[in-house]
This record gives sequence, structure tokens and C-alpha cells, in this order.
Amino acid sequence: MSRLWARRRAAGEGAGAWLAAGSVALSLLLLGSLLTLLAVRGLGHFWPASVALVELDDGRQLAGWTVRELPLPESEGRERLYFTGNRDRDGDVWEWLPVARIAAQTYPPELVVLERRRWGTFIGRLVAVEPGPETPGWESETAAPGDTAWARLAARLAALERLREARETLERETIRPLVRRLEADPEDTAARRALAAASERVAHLRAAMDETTLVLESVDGRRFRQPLVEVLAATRPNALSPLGKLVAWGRGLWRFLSEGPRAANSAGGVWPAIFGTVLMVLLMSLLVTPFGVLAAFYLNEVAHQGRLTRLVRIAVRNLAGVPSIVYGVFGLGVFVYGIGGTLDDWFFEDRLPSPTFGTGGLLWASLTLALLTLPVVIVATEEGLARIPAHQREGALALGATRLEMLSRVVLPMAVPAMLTGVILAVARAAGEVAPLMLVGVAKLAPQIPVDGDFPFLHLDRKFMHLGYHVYDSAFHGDDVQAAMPLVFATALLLVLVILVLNLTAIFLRHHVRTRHAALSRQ
Amino acid sequence: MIERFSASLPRTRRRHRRDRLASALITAGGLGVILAVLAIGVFLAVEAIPVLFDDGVSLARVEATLTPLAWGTLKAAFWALLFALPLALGAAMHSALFMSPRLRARLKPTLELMEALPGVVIGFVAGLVLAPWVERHLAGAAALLLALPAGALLAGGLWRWLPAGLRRRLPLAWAGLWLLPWLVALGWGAMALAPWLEGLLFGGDLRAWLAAELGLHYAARNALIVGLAMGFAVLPSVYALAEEALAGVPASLAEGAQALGATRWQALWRVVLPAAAPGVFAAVMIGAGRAVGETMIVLLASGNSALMSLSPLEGMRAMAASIAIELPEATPGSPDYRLLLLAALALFAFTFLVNTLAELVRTRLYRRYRRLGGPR
Repeated sequence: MSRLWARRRAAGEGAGAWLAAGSVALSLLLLGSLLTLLAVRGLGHFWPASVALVELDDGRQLAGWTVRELPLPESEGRERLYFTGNRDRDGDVWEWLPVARIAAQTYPPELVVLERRRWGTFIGRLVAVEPGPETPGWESETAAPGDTAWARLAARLAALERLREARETLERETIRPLVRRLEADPEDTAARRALAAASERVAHLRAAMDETTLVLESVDGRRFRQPLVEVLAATRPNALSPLGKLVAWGRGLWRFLSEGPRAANSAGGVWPAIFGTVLMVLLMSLLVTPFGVLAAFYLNEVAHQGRLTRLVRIAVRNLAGVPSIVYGVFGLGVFVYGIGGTLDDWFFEDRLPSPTFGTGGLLWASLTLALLTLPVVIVATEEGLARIPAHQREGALALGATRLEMLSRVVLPMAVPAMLTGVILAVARAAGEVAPLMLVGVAKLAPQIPVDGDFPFLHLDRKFMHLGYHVYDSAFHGDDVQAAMPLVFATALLLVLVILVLNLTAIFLRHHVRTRHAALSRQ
Repeated sequence: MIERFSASLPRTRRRHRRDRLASALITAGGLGVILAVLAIGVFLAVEAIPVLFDDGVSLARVEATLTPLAWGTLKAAFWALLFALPLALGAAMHSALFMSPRLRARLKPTLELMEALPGVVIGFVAGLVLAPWVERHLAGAAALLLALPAGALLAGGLWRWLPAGLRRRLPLAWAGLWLLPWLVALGWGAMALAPWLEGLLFGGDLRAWLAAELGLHYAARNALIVGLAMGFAVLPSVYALAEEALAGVPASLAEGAQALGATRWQALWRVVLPAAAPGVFAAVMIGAGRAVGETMIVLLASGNSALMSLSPLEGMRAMAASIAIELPEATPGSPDYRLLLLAALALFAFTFLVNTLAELVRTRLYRRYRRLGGPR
């Protein structure tokens, strides 16, 4: 008994210690579940889900994939939510079915999934590929459905892609320069003739693209015709091997990263948002780096280290804790309405009352975020400067260097990693901020990206898209949030990954700085 | 020799002139940047304060507009801190005094990464994933809230009775990690038991029971959801500062207490924590500042209806969210615009004061540590 008692006393640390340990575990659990949720739902969306052919007890058939299963609210049993697509035929893309009513569920390999520009996804059977009357050699083969029609569809889709590229090249390389030449000199008859010829070729290409139609059949037997030009991608998920699914998954991921949004941001990709985020952050770091470093050098190296400097330092540090929305208000009031309004009055009077710089835009967003992240850069650089051993400075001065030479040849090179750390942290913070951008220039959908071939190439007055705002907007303002959710997850995952990578870089850099400076002061 | 010296004289003068010029430039630039940053407060004050003395906007209107917003802001911050403080302070105590140094060196950057997660992502998950889920599994969520802390305690109780070999394999220093699967298992168990408990205690429907017995109406996007999400966002910054304060306490204090027979927990609770109290207080203040100003989480997870209710199961509308929604539509110079600017000024003043207070307390604390012969 006494031995047992002794063991308990020796081992006991008290309830508090275990609660404290539990809170560490719980924090890690929260973080882990959030990241897992984002990763699974964000990446899982691109995996081609198997399409089930469901037969109900009353003989009705429908095709789609299971989204989730819940217990029925009022009675026993469960119900399943299917994504069935075909908005143009059914008016809706979702269907709740009680599990008890499902008579049979099969996965026939011939079911196709089409992604269309209008009306979203089609799920059903492909009956035939009909070439238009003008294309000889392609005869309608309604009699032979299945694989041949599928092979034809693939060939036609590839041909369509080639036509589309040809048209884009024509428009970019021939038509647009000609239009510019005509704008400069409306009397240029050669250009006019060339333009007419090019337009005719484009019309020809467009006609060739419009020719093919698909004959589709939904699983409950309704047939209809679908112009091929509206189809963006076609898959047969049930016929794919695991490797094929992996390829399809990679292709879906790539299209998400490289294409623009469709269907009110609830489908398609996020390329303009990636571009806008990166461009805005780049501009911001160009602005914030020199000014932040200048202020840090002033505070740490030049200013008299008295009470006033200490107060200023505390104030700057505290500005890092001021809510970002307040910076947004400042940006709106001072940059957009103040400076932007004045610029419009001076230089863009002819365009008033529609504002050029007097409304939110890329420049004002970058400036606002630069102001927001200045404290971050100042604090990080100052920390780096304070870690440089005093004997380095003293050595330089003792050898006859002036202060400028000491700062630029000794202190600055040693402070570079700290500055980089600060800038990376600033970039990571800026990439995730959404609230100030809502006030100073982010757009739900910006048709033109801010960089193009027209002078002055970089359009600082344009609105832009942003990953974080994209998440907010499609999660909060979409018509069918349920349909947009997978893409919102993917976008959120992308944003989080970018920010995590940036932060990890900053953490490694800072570690590197600390070990190096610790080694220096030991010598 | 003399020739070389005289030849270098103008050069030296030039170098010194350049030096003075550069110093002046750095001074001017640095001061300019600092003034620009500090101009935020000035701008807000100049634009917003006149609204209080303006005839066009009555004081009653200012009050009617801002009171629900201030209420919403404080309510959200309160629930956020209620979630974040126990977790953050517990984690800070554990990692400052009990955790193995190797794990601690990994944990700190991990929680730093957690701090960097954008508010819009947290808000989205809270508002569109967590809120509907909790609405469906209200009893399960409540069971989780109770089961997880109880699980940590239970682990401590069971640990004492483990065989010595296993106890050495699962030391308290690594408990932050090996408790994870235990908590996951317990959470799963709590979720599985919840419907049964709900049937037993609340007649099968916790929401109906809440409405009938306590008169609480349950809104899907409510203060508890906001509190959980914002607590998640605030937790890492509170943790970092509190941990720094606790780890900075000179080791001699805790060692002295332990030499006199205190357990490690007693030394922490009676000696280290009182010594570090100002630092912990500063951490709490900074957390409050962040919770008050966080925009995207309240915007996405609070429902944004300007209610003034005490119930944690109803939504609210916070100042920051209100500014983000309404300011782009307000005409510059109009009373609405100025009222929103006044709200921004209030946010700015509150966070700035709170942070300054925290910073002053912290500086004083570290001076005290130095006097006591700590590492700093």
C-alpha cells in the first residue's frame, strides 16, 4: 500500500498539467483538421467521380454521383444527395433520394460527362456525333452508338481545339494590328482589304466550329441535340482505369489553375485571380521594401536612441496590430477619393464623371497593402540590424570608413536575410488580406487582366481579381453556393498553400540569420 | 607620403560630404515613412470627429447606428477570447515548462503558420462548413466540447496507473503529440454517443429543448461559431506572447520553488505565473485587439444581422464587417460615410491603445526579468 502511494505521488503532476498538455494537442488537432479538410475537399473535387445509374422502385432512372448521405429528418432511414447535372433539361442539378426507394445502382461504362460552356455539366449517354451538312465524308451514324461515337467525339474535340487556336492566332496576329493601323489612318485601303479577308477567314473558321452537333440522351430517355462548340471537356469516368483517372485528375487541376472562371464564378478556373494576386503582391513588395528598409535604418542606425525614438518604435510596432480594415478605410479616403480624385481632375477630365483613378484599382490596392505591411518589414529589418554585433560596425569605423560606407558595405549585406524575411512575411500577410481590398479595388470578375499588349502595358487603374476575394465572393454571393463549394475549397487550398510556402521560407531564412549571427558574435 | 595624403584630402572631404548627405536622406526618408504610417490616425480623426458636432447628424443617430455594431464587435471578441484564452494559455504553460525542447522548437513555427492562415479561409470554413454541420449535430458538438477537456484529464488519471515502461515511453514532455490520437478517438466516441444522450436527456432534439426550456433560438451562424473561428485565429498570437513571457522568467525562481518541495505544476502556478503575469496580460490584450478588428471571419460566419441579444446562439453584426460591406457604397462626405469612418476610428483607437498598453507592460516586465538575472 505504501509503495503504491509513493508511486502515485512520484508520477502525479496534477490535473492542470494534463489540461495544459491537452490544450497543445487540441490546438494541433484544430489546425490539422482544418488543413486536412481543405486538402481533401480541395483536391478531391478534380478526381473524376464514378457516375451511378440509379433505378428507383417506381422504375424512374437517373444518373449522377453521390455528394452526401444524411439520416432523414422526420422518419427512419437515410437519404442521399446526387449531383445529376443537366440543368437545361431538369431545371436543377441536385436530387435528394431516400435510400429505401433505390432499387438498383449500377455503373455502366458508356455514361459520359460533358462540361459545357452554358448550362454546366451534362450526364447521360452519347448517341451520335453529327457533322454539319457542309462537311463531306462524315455521315450520321445514329445506328452505331457507343465506342465509335465516343472515338469520334474525341477526334472532333481535338479538331475543335485546333480550330479555336487558329482563330485566336488570326485575331491576335492579323486582325488586331490591322485594326490599329486603320485607327491611325482610316484611308489605308490595303489594310481595309486585308482586314475584310481576315474577318472572312474568321467567319469561316467559326462556321466550321459550329458545324458539329452531338445527339445526347439523358438516362431517362430524352434525346436532344447539343452543338459541339459549347462542349469544353468530355470524360467517361466509369470506363477510366485508375491511371486514366489520375491523368484526368491532373488535367482537371491544370485547367483549374490555367483557365478563367465561368458561370458566375461557380465553375472554371482561377487563373485571373492568381495573376491579380501575384501582380498586386509584386507591386506591393516593390513599394514596401525600400521604404521599410529606409525607416528601419533610420530608427536603428541614424536616429538618436532616446525616449522619442523608443515611443516611435512602439507606435510602429503597434500599427502591425491595427485591423486591416482600418487601412482599407484610409486607402479609400486618402488614395482613392483624395489623390485619385485629384488626379482625375487634372489629367483625365475628359473621361469624367466616370472615374479613372478616382475608383479602386491595382495601384491603390498595392499602396494600401504596402502601408499595411510596412510595420512588418520595419520590425523584421530592425530585428536583423539589432542582431549584427556592434564590433562589426566599430571595426569598420576604426578602419576609417564613414558612416555611409559602414552602413552600405558592412551592415547592409549582413542585414539582407533579415530584410528578405521581412519582405516575405509582408508578402504572405498581403496575399491573405481581403478586407482592405474590398474597399480599394478588387473586383468580382475583371474581364481584362491588368497587363496586356496595349500601351502602357501595365494598367494601374484597372480593377483586378484576387484569390481571397474569390473565396469570399463565391462562398457568400453565389446563386448556387452548393455547386460552387468544391471550387471554393480548391481556391482556399491554393491560397493557404501559397501563404504556407512563403511563411516556411521566412522561417528558414530567419533561422539561418540567427545561427549565422550567433556564430559571428562568438568569434 | 605627404603627396598622397594631400591628394586624398578632397576625396576624404567628398566622402564626408556624401556621408552627411546620405544621413540626411535616410533621416528624411525614415521620418517621412514613419509620418505616413502614423497619418492613418490623423486622417481618421480629422474626417470622423466632426460628425459628432455636425448639425446634420444628430447624436441620437450616431448612437443608434454604432451601439449595435459595438455590441456585436464586443460580443464576438468575448466569445473568441473565451475559446482562445484557455487553449492558448494552457498551450503556452505546457510548452514553456513541460515540453521537450525538441518538440517545442517544432511547435512554435507550426503555430506561427497557424497565425498566417488567412481570415477569409477560416471564415469560409466556419460559415459554410462548420455552421451547417453544428446545426445538424448540435448535441454532438456540445458533447465534443465537454469530452475533449475531460479526455485530457482522464488521460492524466489513467497515465498514473500505466506500467512504468509504458509511462517512460509516453512522457508528459511529449504529451502534446501522443494525446492527439487519444483525443481523436474520444471525439469520435463522443459523436457516436451523442444521439443516444440527446434522446435520454433532451427528448431527442436539443434544439427544440433549448427553445422550449431556455427560450434560446438557434441561428446557424451564431456567436459560438464566430467565437470558435475567431478563437482559432487569435490563439497563435496569444500563445506566442504568453509563451515568451513564461519562458523568460528566470529559471532560478522555479528551481527554488521545486527545491523547497513544490511539484512542477505548483512551481508554475504559484511562482512562474505570478512573475510572468504582466506578460500574460499583455498577450491577452493583443488577442483582444486582434479579435476586435478581425473582419472576414465575422463577415462570413456571423450572419451580419444587427441584433443586440445576449444569447450565444444568435448572430451579430460587427463594426469591421459593417465597414467592409457598407463603405464602398456610401457617398464620400455623406453622413453614412462619416459614421462608418467614426467606426473605423473607434477600431483604430481601441486597438492602438490596447497594443500600446500591452507593449509598455511587456517592456517593463523584461526590465524586471533582467534585474532578476534572467536570460535577457
